[in-house]
Amino acid sequence: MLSSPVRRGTPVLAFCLGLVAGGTVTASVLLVAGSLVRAPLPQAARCAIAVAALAAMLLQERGLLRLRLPENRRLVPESVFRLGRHLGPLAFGVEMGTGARTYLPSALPYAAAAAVLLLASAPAALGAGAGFGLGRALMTTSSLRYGAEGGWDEEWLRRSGRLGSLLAFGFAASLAAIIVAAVR
Amino acid sequence: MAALSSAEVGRRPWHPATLAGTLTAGALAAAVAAASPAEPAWLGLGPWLLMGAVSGFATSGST
Repeated sequence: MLSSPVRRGTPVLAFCLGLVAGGTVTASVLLVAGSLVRAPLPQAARCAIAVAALAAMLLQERGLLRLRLPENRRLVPESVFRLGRHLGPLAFGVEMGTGARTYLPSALPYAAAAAVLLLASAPAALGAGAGFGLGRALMTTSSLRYGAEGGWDEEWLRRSGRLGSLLAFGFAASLAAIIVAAVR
Repeated sequence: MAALSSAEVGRRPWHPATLAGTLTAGALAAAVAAASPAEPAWLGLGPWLLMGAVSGFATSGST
């Protein structure tokens, strides 16, 4: 899909804006749903569940756990590009940014969703959603700047195991920061 | 060790490992800041932004 018009000119910006918008939409939904979950649970229990969710997702990433996670197993349809030079990439970005409209090849977004559901204030949820979109946009923008067509993806695939571990560690560190900041 | 060409050096900041390392370093810095007695203002939103960015970047390869 990214060999499409998204790769050229200002549509990249529209695509990235769409990613951020999509991320904040999902985070807002989680925030509202979370208000039902957060109310009856004490903070310690919510922190413990968020950590347990991360542990389960890390086991899933390692293939030690085989949970059937909700995932829309399809590509964003090419038809979105019929919306125009900018609206098409924007719509494509929103769909990808939600994380709910196409494949999710990592379990970390599920752990992030659990953290938002259980622990986030409104600004924190929007920050996490925007961050998710920015993280996805980083893939696109860095791939464009990396050079040869497909080179970035090859590097990613060649090191996917180690990169996954590194990012899982980064995720755990950020969740630790969130929990420590919340309990003090 | 072979010398790197200027093109290779120029694109190194955009390498997936550089980006994953930078995000992880940021998250580690947030964890250290959270554990320290001082409470930097960015600690309210920064770790959430980083957590989102890490999980978003981890989905690379989905297209």
